[in-house]
Amino acid sequence: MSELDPSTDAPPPRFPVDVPGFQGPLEQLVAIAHRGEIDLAALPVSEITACFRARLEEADTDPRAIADFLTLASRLLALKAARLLPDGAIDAEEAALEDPTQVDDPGARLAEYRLFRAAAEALLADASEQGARSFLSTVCPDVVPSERLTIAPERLLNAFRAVLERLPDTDTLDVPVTSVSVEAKTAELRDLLIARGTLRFDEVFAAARSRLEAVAGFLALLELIKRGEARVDQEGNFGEITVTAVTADAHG
Amino acid sequence: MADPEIDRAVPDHVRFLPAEELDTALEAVCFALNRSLTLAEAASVLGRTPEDLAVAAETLAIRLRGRGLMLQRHQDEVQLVTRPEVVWAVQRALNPERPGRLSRPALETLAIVAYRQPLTRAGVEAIRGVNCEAVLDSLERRGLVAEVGRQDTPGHPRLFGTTLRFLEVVGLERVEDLPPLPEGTVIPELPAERWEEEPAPLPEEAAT
Repeated sequence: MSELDPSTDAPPPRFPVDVPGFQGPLEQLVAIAHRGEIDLAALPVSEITACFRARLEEADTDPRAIADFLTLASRLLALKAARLLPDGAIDAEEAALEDPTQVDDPGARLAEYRLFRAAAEALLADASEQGARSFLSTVCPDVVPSERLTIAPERLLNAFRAVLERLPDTDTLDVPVTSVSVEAKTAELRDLLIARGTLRFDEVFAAARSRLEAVAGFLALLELIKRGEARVDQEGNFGEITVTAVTADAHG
Repeated sequence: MADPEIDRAVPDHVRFLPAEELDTALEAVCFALNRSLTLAEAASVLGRTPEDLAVAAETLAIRLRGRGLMLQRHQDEVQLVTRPEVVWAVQRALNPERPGRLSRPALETLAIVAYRQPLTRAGVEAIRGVNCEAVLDSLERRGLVAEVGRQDTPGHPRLFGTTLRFLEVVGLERVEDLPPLPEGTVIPELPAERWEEEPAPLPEEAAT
């Protein structure tokens, strides 16, 4: 599932509701009321507001939370009023059909919400599942030979970010006197590749003791790719990124 | 001062070309730059006015129909991209990394912004009936929606609209090409299996 998926580590509800007919977060109550899935006539809204007032008196509450609560509670009241008033007896969907411009009418909003839900399904669900439907050209062949970088450059960048995050930043109070040469790193990495043939991406940075050194190592890697001495591969999504020495035979 | 070494002047005949015949030059520039560019930028490159380039962009978009590429246009930006009809081939060629799937609230919010733009967060919330701050933040971070202005009401709330990236993701040439939404028509409930079960709205949207 995506990173947006809430199924794990959901925070506790900000506005818990526990009244006859419904237990759960206030947001969920408003959402199901929107969809007409709960009988609002029987729901004691005053109990909900009383609970919230009691909590307000107990502790300092963030003004934003109060504003959010008021927004939700007023929506709930509007929905309930629409249900209880004589005109509210009209089915919400019929009301929306009669006057679709009445967006302040909860019935019309419900109909509109359903429209967008259907539009989201028709238009966006495939793109969300399958990825983008259109592409810019990706890699400029003069800059990075695509046959030597078989994965998206972003993926390489993300892997390198992960390396950087593991290493301590240079202490800003010290004046570092050590300098790191990309040339030296390139020679070092070349020797390592010749000796080992293939390295895992993180092995390229195994000896790095600072971010500066890791940056030099990464530049050295790019340099070897550019010169045709190394190739970067990844076995499928989330697979290990590997760096392989390109020998003169293989290259030719 | 002119650079004596390089002559990159716009050829004389281009100055007198009808705007619609600039489409091939615009196509070449889009291809070579390999990114989106504004009509003003293209106009500067080709030595013509942004209005001429708007005409050229329309012509190019029409001439590309039936081809593997298309011209996406969003506000004053254009970019040359592959057509959604051949996305299968491009995906086989590129094996692109798939971004994390959007949650259902994100998809709904994106659809609302797409069809009702520009609108405020309160405008989205009025339709969805739940707090949409986190989900809008998430869509903004993914570059699918962006602030397009401020509403002229107390507090000047931000107005949101979709982006060029949104067009890339859904494979449309322009926002105007969104399939029409039948106003006031009630669409039947969606099949449950697509959306799975109904989650609690706020925690879902907060967990970004």
